[in-house]
Amino acid sequence: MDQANKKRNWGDILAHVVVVVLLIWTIFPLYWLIITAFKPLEEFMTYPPTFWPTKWTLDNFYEGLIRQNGLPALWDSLVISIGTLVISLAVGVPAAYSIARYKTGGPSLAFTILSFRFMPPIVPTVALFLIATSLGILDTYALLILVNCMAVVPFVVWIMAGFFEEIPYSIEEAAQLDGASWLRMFWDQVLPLSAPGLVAVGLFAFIFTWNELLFATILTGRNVTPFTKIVPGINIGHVEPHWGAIAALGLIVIIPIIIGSWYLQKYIVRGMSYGAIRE
Amino acid sequence: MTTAATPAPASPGAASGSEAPRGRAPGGGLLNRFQRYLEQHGGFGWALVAPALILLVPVVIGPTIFVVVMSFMRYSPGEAMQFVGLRNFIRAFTTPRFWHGLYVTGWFVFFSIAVQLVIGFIAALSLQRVGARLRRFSMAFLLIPMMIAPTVVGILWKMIFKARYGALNYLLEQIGITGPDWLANNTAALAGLLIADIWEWTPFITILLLAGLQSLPREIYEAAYMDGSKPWQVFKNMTLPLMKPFIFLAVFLRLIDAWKTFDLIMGVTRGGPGDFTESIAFYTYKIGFTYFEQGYAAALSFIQLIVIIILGKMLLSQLTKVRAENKATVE
Repeated sequence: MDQANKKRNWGDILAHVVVVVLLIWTIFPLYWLIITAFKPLEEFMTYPPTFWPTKWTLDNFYEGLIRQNGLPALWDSLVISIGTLVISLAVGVPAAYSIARYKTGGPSLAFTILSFRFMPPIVPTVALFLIATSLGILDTYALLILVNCMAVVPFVVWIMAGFFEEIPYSIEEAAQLDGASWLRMFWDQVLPLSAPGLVAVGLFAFIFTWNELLFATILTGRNVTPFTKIVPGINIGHVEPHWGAIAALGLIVIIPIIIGSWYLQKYIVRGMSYGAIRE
Repeated sequence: MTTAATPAPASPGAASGSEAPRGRAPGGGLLNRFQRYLEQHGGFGWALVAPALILLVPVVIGPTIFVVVMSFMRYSPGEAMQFVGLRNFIRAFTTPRFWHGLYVTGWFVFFSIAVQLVIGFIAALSLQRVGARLRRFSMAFLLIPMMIAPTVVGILWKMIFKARYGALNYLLEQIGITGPDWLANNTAALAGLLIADIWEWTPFITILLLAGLQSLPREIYEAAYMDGSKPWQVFKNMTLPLMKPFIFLAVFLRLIDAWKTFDLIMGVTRGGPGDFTESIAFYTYKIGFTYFEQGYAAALSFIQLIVIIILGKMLLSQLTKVRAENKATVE
């Protein structure tokens, strides 16, 4: 018994050591991003590198947001992300409900829609570039929103279908016996019950689009410049990256995502595993 | 508690929902009458799915078919399309850079998944063992790498990898190791990409496996320990087999994602030095949008699509099989 206890203690100590190492490993790069964002320009070139800025400055934020056009880039990303969010929920939620309740198209329809998400985005992009060029819609918000829906709608449909299946059907039947129209029943009964799931799916949808790079690089030009496209290319002069401005913008774009992901904590496994694991 | 549902959304719940609801009171406006008409003709479900399909067909199916057609053409912007038969495919299969891209992708997929599974498993077992408070605290930070933009992950690591002024080489020096010039050396650049990917995705594997561990029935563990089994034996004979569906799921999801790797390469190495760290997706991007040889790029895309369909089908059938076996053994 005593020996078993001793073993248990060693195991506990080891587990704590692993968790602490894991946390340091995860947090250190983020810490480095934060201090780089506040370091003055001359401190990027010092050796040894400083692990605590000698002087804290906001110059990098000014450089990134104003002089390097970070602000319009953030605006573009915001417009595209919100546009994608609204449209993908508007078309995805009814489809999810239909698949969950009426089994529309059977499992094959649901799987086909999901498989769109697993397609490498570079595949349709080659053709989309050509089509968009000939239609003259390259480098517009509309195009970016539309192509982002390609990845987000399947996600919305698949995950929301799972949430709708968890709502007891009797609630809807009662509403229908009262003579409520489908829209009324859906709006008054179903949506409020699936609200937490809906918020989570919406947040995921926003985050996926906000972080998207491939479409943002290929299908845009001078007019629309999402931050993912411009941030890595911020230079001093022509070659040396302006690390301070890059870090400052990087920090700005991840803060809302970090806050959002804390809300998502409960749904993260479910969302990222496409509903295969439900907590 | 956690349950591992089959990936088919249509399986659980709602047995009563197999047909359109009835019993609605007559009357109502135009919308209601239209709805009733659709229900009577069995089209209401399809009417709800229609907007999603109308959106997805032109942005996914249309372009994909177009890419297949383009892959048999020679085309650059401003030129007329010209049918060249299989020449694009022959070109791909005889180009060393194509094979190198496949090799880099394969290497990257294999090592990133292998390393992440091992670390992720150790981390998940540890997290399960510590107190609930520390676990929750850790989770809040573990979420961050996989949720933030891969572009930012890329520049973050590029910053740390900087040869002269970067943090990593300085820290390595403190323990007596002279770090390589990470992004200028072929092998080191590839290793660097791997490190960044491990940072970004190991937490995901960890959280997924932790959810799996927490769903395992307690009682069988107690029974095993009562029988005097050693922890290692319990892990090997019970935990590992029971966790098989979760491990497979993790591999499946990571494989599909790692196969598309583009963002991270764009952020960290831009395919360099030279084109040594070019994945197949990045190579396709370069061909299509730097050299603008879009017929050839379409052929490359087509090849990638075929590979992912085959891989996905294989893994999915494995996953379903493992799940079925596992259900049988638990019950």
